[in-house]
Amino acid sequence: MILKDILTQPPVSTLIQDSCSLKGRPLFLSLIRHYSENGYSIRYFKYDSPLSSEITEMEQLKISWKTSIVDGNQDLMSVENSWTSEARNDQVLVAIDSLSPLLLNWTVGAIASALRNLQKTTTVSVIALVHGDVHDKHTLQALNYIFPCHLAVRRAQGRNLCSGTWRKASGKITDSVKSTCFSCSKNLNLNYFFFAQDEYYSITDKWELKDVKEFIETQPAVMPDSLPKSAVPKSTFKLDLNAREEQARSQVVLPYIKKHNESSSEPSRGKIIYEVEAPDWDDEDPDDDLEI
Amino acid sequence: MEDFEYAWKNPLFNSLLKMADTVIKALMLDKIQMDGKSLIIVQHNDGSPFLHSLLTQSARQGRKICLVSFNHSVGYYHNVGTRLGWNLNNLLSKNQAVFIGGLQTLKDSSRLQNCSNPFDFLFNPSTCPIQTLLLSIQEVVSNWVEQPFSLVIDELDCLLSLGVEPKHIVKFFQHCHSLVQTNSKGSLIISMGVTPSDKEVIQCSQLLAHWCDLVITEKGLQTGKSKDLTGSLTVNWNIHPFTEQHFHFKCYDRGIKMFAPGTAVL
Repeated sequence: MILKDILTQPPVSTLIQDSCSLKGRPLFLSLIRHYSENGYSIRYFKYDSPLSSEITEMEQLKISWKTSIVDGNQDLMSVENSWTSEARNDQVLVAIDSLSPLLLNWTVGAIASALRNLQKTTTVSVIALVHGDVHDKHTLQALNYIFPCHLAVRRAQGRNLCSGTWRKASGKITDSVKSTCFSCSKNLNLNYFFFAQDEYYSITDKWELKDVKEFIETQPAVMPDSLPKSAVPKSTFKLDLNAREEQARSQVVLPYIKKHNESSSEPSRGKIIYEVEAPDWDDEDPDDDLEI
Repeated sequence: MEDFEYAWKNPLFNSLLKMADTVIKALMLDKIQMDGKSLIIVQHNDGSPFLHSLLTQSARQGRKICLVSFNHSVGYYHNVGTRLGWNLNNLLSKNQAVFIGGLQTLKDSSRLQNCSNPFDFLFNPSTCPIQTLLLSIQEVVSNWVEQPFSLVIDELDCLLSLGVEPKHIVKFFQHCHSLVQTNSKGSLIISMGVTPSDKEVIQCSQLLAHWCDLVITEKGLQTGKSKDLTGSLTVNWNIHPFTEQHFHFKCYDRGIKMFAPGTAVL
């Protein structure tokens, strides 16, 4: 329960990874609001282009912000200095929305160095947003090394889900538990399932994070006897078979398959009966009419 | 508006209006005003018919139009617009619309820098190759203070084909976005062609999709071609009402018909 633990402790440097299917910004803002209400001063750096609704949202949160358009021609040091100059005491949280424009202009190594320098020279925590569908896996994995807490948001079954990893200062690693179990069906098929203990959450209109609860999602693994998914073309029509249909199909007797276990008492069909005719030998000499 | 008042008596024009209304209703643009908002069309096929529908809508509403194109001439947009019931040349003559040829502007900027090759800017990382284009757009938009306008940029991915880096394109978008948001009555409409094998285009389009209020994704059918349908459309609102809707559509010479999935043959 990473999200629930984060809310009960002082700010931890956190990276929130989102995608187009579910935006991480509401969770990002709700965490900022939570820390702001606990007495932390927020320094908000906005590098993304704001949506039309964000002006109203930021007014509600009473956070001062200014959009900065990242210029790749300028040195990353100036960006780092802007972060450092704002982080002068311990009760400051640096919020970066988002890292994606920075990653387009500079390498992930340079960004990592700047963030590492910020964390070394000051004792502030950094909470950052990154768009996971914009960058490759290598870049996202590199960012995981900088932030001890990494949260990924997604949508499943109509709910907002959050999963992640938290590397605590003590060395303990908390992860959304993923385990595998299997069950055996009547026809001796093994069915594998994956369990992921994510957390689902909801955010109110006032940016309060609530209803953070454990969400256990079971996902069936690939059934070895079923059709491979890649063989079935994608279509709006239902082309694959469910378990009942597969069982019914396995019980169909094909007409051209020979039946090896036929019993002998069964009447035969299409039998040929041959009666040997009596021989019609002629006693007369067939060559008798020859005048030899 | 005078052209539309005269033409409403024409039954052909009425059918065009009905088709255009269907598209606008499907995108919920009849209920949500686009003032101060941005919209991106991500097209997996060549040539988006929806950009022309949005241009038609802007013309019908009497908005000023600043049209930036990298791939087509003004004649192309005029010809398509004529089929959809509006006259671009007429709007250009009345200063209701401005056409900016993106490639021409890039070429002119290289002349000012005394370059022997118009593509020298690709090898000079210190210059911003699309700065001149941005200044041209800024100059046009600054004349339309407090007037509703639509800034339409067609096929922004052409800049990537020229070799402009994604960071410059993203910066260009941010400047255009800020121009539109400064004037609360402006709207930004961008189209980008996407190829699955082109990582830079996908990276750009995904990032811009995060920054736009409305994302329209246009794709062909997964199972191939059909005589009843041209493709599928996904409409995502990143602001209220935060909906994601799927449609099928069929392109005709004079408009688009929209269907709920599976109802095209009904």
